[in-house]
Amino acid sequence: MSNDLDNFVAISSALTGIAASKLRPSLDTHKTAQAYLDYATEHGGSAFTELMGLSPAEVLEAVANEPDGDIAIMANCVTLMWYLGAWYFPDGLLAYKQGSSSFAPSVVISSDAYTQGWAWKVGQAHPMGYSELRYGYWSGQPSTLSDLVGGE
Amino acid sequence: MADTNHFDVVIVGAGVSGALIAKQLGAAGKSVCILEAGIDYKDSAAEALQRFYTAQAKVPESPYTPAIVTPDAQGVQSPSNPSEHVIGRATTLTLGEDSWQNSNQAYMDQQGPLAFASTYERVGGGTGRHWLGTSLRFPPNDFKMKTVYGVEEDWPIDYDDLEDWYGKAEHEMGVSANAADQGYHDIGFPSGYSYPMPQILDSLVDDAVKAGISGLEPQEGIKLEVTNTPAARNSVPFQNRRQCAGNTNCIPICPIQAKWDPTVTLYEARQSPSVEIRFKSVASEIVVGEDNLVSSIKYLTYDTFDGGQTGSGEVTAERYIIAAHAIETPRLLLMSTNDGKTPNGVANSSGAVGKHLMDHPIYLSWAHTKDPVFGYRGPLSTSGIESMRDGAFRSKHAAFRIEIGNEGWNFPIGDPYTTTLDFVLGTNHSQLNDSGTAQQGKGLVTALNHALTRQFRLGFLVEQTPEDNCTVGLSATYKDRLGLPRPSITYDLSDYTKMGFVAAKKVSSNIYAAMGAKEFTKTITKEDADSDPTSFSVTYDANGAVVPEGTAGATTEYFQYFGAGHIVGTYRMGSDSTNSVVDKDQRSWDHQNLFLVGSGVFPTVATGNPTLTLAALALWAADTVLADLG
Amino acid sequence: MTNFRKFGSVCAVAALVLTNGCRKMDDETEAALLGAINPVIDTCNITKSPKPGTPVTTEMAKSGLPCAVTFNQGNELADLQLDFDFNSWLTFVALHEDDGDMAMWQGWQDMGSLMLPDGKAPPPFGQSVPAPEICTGGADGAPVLKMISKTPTTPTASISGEPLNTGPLIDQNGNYARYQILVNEVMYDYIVDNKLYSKAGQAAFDKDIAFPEGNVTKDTTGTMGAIVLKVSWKVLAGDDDPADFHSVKGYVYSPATADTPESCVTETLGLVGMHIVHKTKQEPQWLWGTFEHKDNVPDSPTSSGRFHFYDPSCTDCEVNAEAPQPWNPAVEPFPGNFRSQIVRTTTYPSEAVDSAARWNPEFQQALKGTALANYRLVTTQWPTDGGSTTDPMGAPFPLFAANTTMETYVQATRSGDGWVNTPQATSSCMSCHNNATTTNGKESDFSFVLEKAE
Repeated sequence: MSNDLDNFVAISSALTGIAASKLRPSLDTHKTAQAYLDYATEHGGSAFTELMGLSPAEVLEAVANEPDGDIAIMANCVTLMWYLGAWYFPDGLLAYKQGSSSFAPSVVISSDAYTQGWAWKVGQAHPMGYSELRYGYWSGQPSTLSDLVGGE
Repeated sequence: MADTNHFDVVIVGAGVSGALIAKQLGAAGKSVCILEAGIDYKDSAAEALQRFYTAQAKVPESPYTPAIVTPDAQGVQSPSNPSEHVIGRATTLTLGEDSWQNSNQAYMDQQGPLAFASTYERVGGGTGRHWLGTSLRFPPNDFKMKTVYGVEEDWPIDYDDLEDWYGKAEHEMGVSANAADQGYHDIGFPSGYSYPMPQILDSLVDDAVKAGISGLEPQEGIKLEVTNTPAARNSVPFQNRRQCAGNTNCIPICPIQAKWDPTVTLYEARQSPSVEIRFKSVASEIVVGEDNLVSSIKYLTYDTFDGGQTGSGEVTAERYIIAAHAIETPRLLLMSTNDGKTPNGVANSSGAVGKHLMDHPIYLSWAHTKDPVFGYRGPLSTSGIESMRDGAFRSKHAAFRIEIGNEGWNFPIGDPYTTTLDFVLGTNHSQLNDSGTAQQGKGLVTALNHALTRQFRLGFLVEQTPEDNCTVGLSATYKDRLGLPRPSITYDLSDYTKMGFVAAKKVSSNIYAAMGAKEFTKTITKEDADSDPTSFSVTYDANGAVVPEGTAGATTEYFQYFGAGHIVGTYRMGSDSTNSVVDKDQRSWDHQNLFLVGSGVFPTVATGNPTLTLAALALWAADTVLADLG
Repeated sequence: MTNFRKFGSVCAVAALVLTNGCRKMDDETEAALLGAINPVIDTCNITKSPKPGTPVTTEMAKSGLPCAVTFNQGNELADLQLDFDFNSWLTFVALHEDDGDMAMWQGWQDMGSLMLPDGKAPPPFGQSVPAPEICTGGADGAPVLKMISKTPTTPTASISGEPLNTGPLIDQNGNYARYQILVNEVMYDYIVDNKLYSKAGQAAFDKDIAFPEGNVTKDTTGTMGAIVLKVSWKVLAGDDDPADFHSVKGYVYSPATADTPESCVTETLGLVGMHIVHKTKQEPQWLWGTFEHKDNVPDSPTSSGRFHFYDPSCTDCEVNAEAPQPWNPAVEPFPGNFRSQIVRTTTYPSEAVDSAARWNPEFQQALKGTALANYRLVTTQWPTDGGSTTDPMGAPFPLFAANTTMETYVQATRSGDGWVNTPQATSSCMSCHNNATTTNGKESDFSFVLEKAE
């Protein structure tokens, strides 16, 4: 299992641009990576199995070569799961991507998933309704992007 | 207590007004029964936050009950069917072309021509559960529009009558502001007055707007200024509640209750042994006796939201106060026909019950700044531009206040979701991904960071005029699960209000230009205006007079509006019993032991968010009722 | 003055010389004084937690008060949780060592004798303000128990100290649980020497609030950090056996309301809950250990057993529901036969569950024959990344923690037939205390104590 988790985190980091050490800290209090791996394994079907059989570089290659293919859409699902704490249904996501639907159906994975969404941190902010900061922080500069998302 | 059904005072509705009045009456030792249609806030508070976090569409109604959405087998949420609920309520999710008149989705039976776009709650604590906290006083001219500008109506009271009550409400709720900043448009304070807490700090967005408009030339002769907004949020610990931590979620739910909401006051009210709240108790009829006084209020009870009626009750009192907000209050009055004795409903000899429904329709605009302003941080709004809430222009077009948003483009386009999807998938719904590139890795981080950190929006709360053709009635067709008719709504915007949008749009564009910001406000087309129930067109000539579309030399513009949740006017106060429902004491002209409170008494919607004013009026009404009781 | 202490004397001398008090002394003196607040001691307990297979001995359990956590198990979450929990147990036992005729902690400063009306200076450490006049006949210096929730407000004021849900806890005899907040000498000194016991003093204080830190520098040498205790008691009555509890004779006081006069009764009270909050150098967000009497509540609904705050024979008692208002502790037993029906509902991660499951039986065995053997550690919350530049809470673990007697109504969120943890709504010590401030809104280093100044 730990191999699966390592690979999932590596793929996730390559897709999201968030450092692996942020997605899965050495002292992992939220265990988000494990929760997302479990969720995607249950809901992602064969496309997720296929994706997990690839290296991070191979996933990026698949996304670039065939952006509407099953692997690429599943990669999008994984990215969005990390960014928004929600699971987008692959079929609906493809329709939205191709412009045949104006709505991409999704479910919020959990309250913890919502409050750990990375889109907000990439915006140097926090999920609406969940701030770890203190009174008046909004009148000053936020943490730097690299402090928030990690990596070089 | 529990075995009696007679009280000094019966109040319908445990919201802002009901809570404030109950506390005052309880403290004076009066026996009080509040009938509340919704569930006890004690049963629902943590669930409300959980429901919010896991809601797919996070709208003002998302945390509360009955749930506005129902999940399908996959978990995808779509609007609940209001006919299956014992108590329904409106949601902003059902304002689309396909949903606004769909009775299986929309609670209100909307007759048009435009959609009424605001919503309210039916839960212990009322709509105050999801309010923003903005606690503005109305400028003196708001109370005398007819006299000063020859439009709308005068109130039967003026600013001076309310001044002390404003102060009391500010201290009861806990408002953070500096009085020195709030004296614009002749708003007065007693000498030495101070708000209970200092102002909440401005945001970086506020700073950017302030800097940007410093060189802006006067708009219609008025120099624009950014003013910190008084808010019922803690800038320091208050009432044993924490200091605001900037969760950016005042609407729909402050997770740490740094924002005052009516449940804070209800806790205090319920510490009085003489105050009782009956939850899940839906008032269904105000009974009028032979002496033309209200003799009782009947109510229906339920166990579960989808289970139908389980019982009923009747309570009597010396005084009755209806505090059920500006849609459910007229609905109850109109339902109360007393077996034909009051065929037009209770308190309705004027025929004004349900009329003059108003809101602050919002002109929403949004832009990207040159340098990051870091939205999605701090309270939803900390400052506004109050400069155009009054001025000579009010004889011609509607006034407006400008709310500066701290939540990026969340309100305009549902961000960060829309833009995140754009950069991940290569779509361009946000207009921020012109190249249509799908990104991964560091490229995604960089692109999204650039996009999100520069977003901000302005909301122009436009004053709507009181009109006879904007009404709350009883649906002839649709009922809720208790068998009570759902509210039917007719709604439109007057030319005066529409020209307020035209003015707002100009001012908006000028502000963005002065800031060097790039505007992204969605362009509304004729097709939009024709199909979207919340869009309209307006055609005007060179003098700003509205003329028929197609008039030579005239300009036609198209707008979308949003609801502000400021539902007012449907049982207005006045000095003439033939065209108003209550007198200046908020007492029914028709029934001397009946009071109607809340924003429904406002003769005009005025130019500020209504809660502070309705709270001040509620405290005043409590005083009057106490004097009555002796 | 029975407690003639280091700082008291230094300050008094300085005040004589400078006449304008302690705060305007030169830096050198001030540094010396800070040392006096948080003096170097050589009695830090540095006992290492035993590895699996080696049981906790009585000697080990009673080895004394740690100045900081000693790490021994490893670097994974589960290992560290074991060390933090072991440290909590050592602390809990050490605090209960007799100091004369009562436990050490009972000589600490009660909030009621620290944050006084009108911002008056508190009495010397360990001394109490006089009990209300109506309180007579009890033991000399008996504690006065006024609070009916962990936030020190009278029941006539707003009791919404917990966001969203709150209320008093009613035991099976119909009596209100009572609460105390106490601080140790180091914390007391920091507050008093900086005049932070008054609004005026807080307004004048121009530095960051930074309570003293516990630390071990070499062997048993180090400093004790600021420690805050929140304590819950139940009145021992009916079938309660005083031998089952760490108990105290105290005044149970209720203020006057519109309907009831003030009252004060001498009662024997049993300890049912204790938060131990210790600031350390390694954990600037403090350590948050919490203990309960093992018979408080069941871990899930049950029809057997005997509990202080749960009736196994009641089938229609709503679980974890607040007591109906009004709340008036002068009216006991609680009207309408209401009794709190409390079940532990916070979900903990396996590391926390496993650690508590290891230490609780071992310490209970080591303490056999003493009242302390009837207590259990719930968990210890600690920062996994104390130096984080983005999260002032330092990434707490476990994410949630609740004592059923103190965070009774914010343990978890009802979800269908079960319970789930909800960020911000479910109790988390560090998440809530992260927002603690002084009366004028200045960050107060995770302690709400200063907010209560007048």
